Amino acid sequence: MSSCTVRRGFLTLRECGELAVAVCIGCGRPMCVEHLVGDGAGPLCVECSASQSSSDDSSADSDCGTSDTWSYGYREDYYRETGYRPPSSDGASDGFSTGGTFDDLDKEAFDPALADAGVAIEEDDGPSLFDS
Amino acid sequence: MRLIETFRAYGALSPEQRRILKEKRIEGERTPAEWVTLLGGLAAYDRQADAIRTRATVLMIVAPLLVFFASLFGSLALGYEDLAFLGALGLALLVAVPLVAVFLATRSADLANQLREVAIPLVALIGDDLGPGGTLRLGLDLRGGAVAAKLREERPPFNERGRSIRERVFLDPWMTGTAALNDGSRLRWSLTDEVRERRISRRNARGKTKTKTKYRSRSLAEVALDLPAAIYRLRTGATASAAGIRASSEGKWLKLRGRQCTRQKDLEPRSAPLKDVLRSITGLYALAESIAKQEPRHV
Repeated sequence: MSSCTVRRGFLTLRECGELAVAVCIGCGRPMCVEHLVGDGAGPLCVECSASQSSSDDSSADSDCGTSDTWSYGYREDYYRETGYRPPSSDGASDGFSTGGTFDDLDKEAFDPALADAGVAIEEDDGPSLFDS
Repeated sequence: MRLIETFRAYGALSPEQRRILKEKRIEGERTPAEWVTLLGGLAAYDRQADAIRTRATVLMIVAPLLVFFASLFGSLALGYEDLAFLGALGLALLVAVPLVAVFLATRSADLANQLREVAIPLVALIGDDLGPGGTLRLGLDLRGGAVAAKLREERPPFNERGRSIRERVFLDPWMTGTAALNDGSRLRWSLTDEVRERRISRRNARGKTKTKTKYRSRSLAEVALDLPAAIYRLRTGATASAAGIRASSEGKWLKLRGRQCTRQKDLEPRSAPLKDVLRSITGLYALAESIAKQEPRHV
């Protein structure tokens, strides 16, 4: 039996490499016990299973990051939304060839002048349910 | 039913988890799976307790009033005029006391929401970047942002447009972490919230003083990433001078340092969302490029 080719990691990616026990019916890749998700229709790898279920910040709260597939779904969403391309040890993606993953918002967020400035004086003094 | 689920969630906590719930602080070194198990149980209880406290807050105002007036009018209709008021008051108190008890008990054991929203997901994600058996060193302070112990400054009251304003500033360094990653890198991060509380009082035309409390929060994520110089180099054209980021080569390490400040605006003190924290880490990784395809170094 071949080794598991599910990609592990978030900051960097690498193939799992553990002994595969099944083949994913979604992508056809071999997968190990840890990355196999039981499904009525057949064995799925965590990446395919995650892509079938939504994941966002609100699901981070409901799952608390404790479900088997949450981190894989979140990872794909994060890469898509931010354009982050992680370095990979398996050659599947050499993340930095295109470069320039910072945008103007990033530069603004990293501005030390903002960090050193006082909290913005921007008030909403309209009536609120919690007013006493 | 929700109350029973909350009791069940509390009953499922280990002695260590109950101690953490009481102290609301934890520091140690464990594998990611151990952290997720330990903190996940606390988060499950905290979610239930938050929900029941929200419900109890509404009920402890509405239910006693309803019971009071229903009992009062019921007693009067039945002719028990002498005991009507006291009886209604007693019944209302009977309803209010357990609700207040639930509210106070769950509030005293409340953990900051960033446990569920940031800390656990962050451990789950970064945990997968560790090698087999790798550990994460974490320090968590889950008492919340605006607590007396974290008061940094109390500014003198001042008047502005006819309003009296009192300001307090809290500093909440709520999470630190250290990890040795699978690719040989060393990652450290620190998350700190600064919360400004404003109590604004205004006297209306009828002479009644109304007060409301507003919060503004800003979150600072400081990240240190040491990349092995044998594997990574500064990306060609990368602006190492980008504001808030420093890069230096020291011996066998390419050292990257970043700090990212974000602001939140809410009724309650609020931390930076998970995505912002992750961006402060991946932003550093994105400044580097791999020199050659390397095999993962299992640590």
